Amino acid sequence: MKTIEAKNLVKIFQMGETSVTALDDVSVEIDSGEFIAITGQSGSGKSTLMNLIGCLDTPTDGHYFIDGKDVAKLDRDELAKIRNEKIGFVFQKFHLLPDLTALDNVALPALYAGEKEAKAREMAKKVLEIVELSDRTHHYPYQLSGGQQQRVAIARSLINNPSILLADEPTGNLDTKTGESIINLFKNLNEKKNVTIIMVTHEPEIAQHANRIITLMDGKVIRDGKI
Amino acid sequence: MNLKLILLIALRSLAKHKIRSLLTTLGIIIGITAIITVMSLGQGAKNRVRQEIEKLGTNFIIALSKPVKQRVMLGKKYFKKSTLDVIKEGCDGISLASAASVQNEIATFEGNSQRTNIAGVEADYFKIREWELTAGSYFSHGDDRKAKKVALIGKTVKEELFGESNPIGETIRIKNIPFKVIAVLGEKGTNPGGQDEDDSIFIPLKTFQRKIAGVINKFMAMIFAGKSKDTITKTALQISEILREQHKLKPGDEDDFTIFTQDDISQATDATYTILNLLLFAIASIALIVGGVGIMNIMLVSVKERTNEIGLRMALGARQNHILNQFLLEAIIICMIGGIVGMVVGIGASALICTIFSWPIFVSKLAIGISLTSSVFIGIFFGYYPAYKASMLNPVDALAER
Repeated sequence: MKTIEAKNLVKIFQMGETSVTALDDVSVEIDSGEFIAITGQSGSGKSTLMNLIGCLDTPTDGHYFIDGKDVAKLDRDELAKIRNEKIGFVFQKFHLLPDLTALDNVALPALYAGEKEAKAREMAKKVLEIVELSDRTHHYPYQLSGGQQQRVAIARSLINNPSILLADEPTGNLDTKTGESIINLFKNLNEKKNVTIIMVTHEPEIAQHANRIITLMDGKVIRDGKI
Repeated sequence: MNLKLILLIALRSLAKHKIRSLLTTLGIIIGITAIITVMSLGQGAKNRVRQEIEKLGTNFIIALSKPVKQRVMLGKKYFKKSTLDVIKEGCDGISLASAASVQNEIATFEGNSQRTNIAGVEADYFKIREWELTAGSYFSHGDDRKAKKVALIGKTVKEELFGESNPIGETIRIKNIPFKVIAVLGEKGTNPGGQDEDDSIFIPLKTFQRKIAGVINKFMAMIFAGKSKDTITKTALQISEILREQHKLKPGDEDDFTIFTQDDISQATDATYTILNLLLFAIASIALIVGGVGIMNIMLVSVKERTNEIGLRMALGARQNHILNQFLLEAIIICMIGGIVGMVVGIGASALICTIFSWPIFVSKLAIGISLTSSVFIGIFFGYYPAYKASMLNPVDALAER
């Protein structure tokens, strides 16, 4: 079953007088349960593609379906709902809120989804178990190591049971060993929980862990193949 | 997303920037303090004047022999005794009446002298004014008829001429004429016109006319006690009509006298104070608005600083309203804290100033109500734009912001 279907996506940025085509007629189909790496050099359009896939931005042209629903033309709040329910984000810099405990950070998307505080915390505890951080629930981000922070972020991305986990250079700020453990966590989630994982990375060795690699250059897909 | 959590987030973010939050709150504190203090003092002053008006006596009507606009001009104008008799006959709303005249003279006792108002009045004058004595006794209608040279002295005159010693039975001199002091009047204080009512000497009207003014059967003013508060305005009108008739004024001619009741004085001073209070309120409000602008400024800075956080929240699924409410609530909390602190400071300041001026302490409940509501309103008004700006950020750009 197709989770993501992008058809002829075009994204043009207007920079004063000149316009820059960041994505040029990109079509991608992603099935449920895939583990995909999007690679390419900086400026290749991989971040733009990820933003579109993550519903953080809307395309200039083209169609984009998540679970069969065309989201290219949705308004801000509808996109927020999609992000909240269907997509989990993992960022290079973890992006945890420094004033909230690990538990409250993880609970945040559930609260935005309208869950009661107690229920959201209950849910947060469960996903923190998955990332093996049950003993760090009441720690603040500054009390956690980089790897632990990224695990908290992954737990946060999982709390609303999204169909897609979108990771933007998830190992970029971590040492190799910690990075590997994060990748293993992704693999685990992908294999055992059947979460679709889309990972943007410029590191070929990280990309190797995926089942399929999509390579972009100058806003076009130049290679798309299973490993 | 429940309110409690948004509140918690807002409080945390305020606690993070303590000095900034404090300074921002200070603007609101000053504004609210100003409003409460000004309104309390204004209302306090108004109440104080009302008390003074009530001290004048109740239910009285005063007729002066000149219209208001001529009063400052020189030259005397008088009522006739016959006119007063006609009024007493013709108005059933009057219970008591007294003619009165006044002249400024120097009164002396032994080595002391005091320039003061010498008033010639009839025996009922003190009943109409509800003016008590602290020592001695009033003069009678008989004393007036016989033009006895007796004097009731006000508290100020007593202090100036006699100091601590007992004046009763002593002889004072006015225009070198000896008067026997028969009473000391109770304290009345300052009248709404700003005159010290206790700086007066009262003598029988007939004595005044013969010995002081040298004008017989004429006087400058009349004072009446009305039978009831409800008919006082009607009675004043009747008096006015009789006066016009007696003075042979044609329709269209202006009154050559002035009539006013206690209500007129109350209303006039009330109106003056209401305008004054409104003016003060307007000035104090400016402080609050300046405080509000400070809120807006700091909220804009806060939104700018937290662009990244806003982007993240949006990525996690925060809708426009979630972000809007969060920042709006922060602004409202700053304002409410400022409002509450300002209220406490304002009440304290009002009480202090009232104590200094020995006014009755008055805290305007209206001011407290207005302040607390307006602080919330200021929070919403000046917090809305920054909050709206935050909610309209593009998630991609917000996330990318350093």
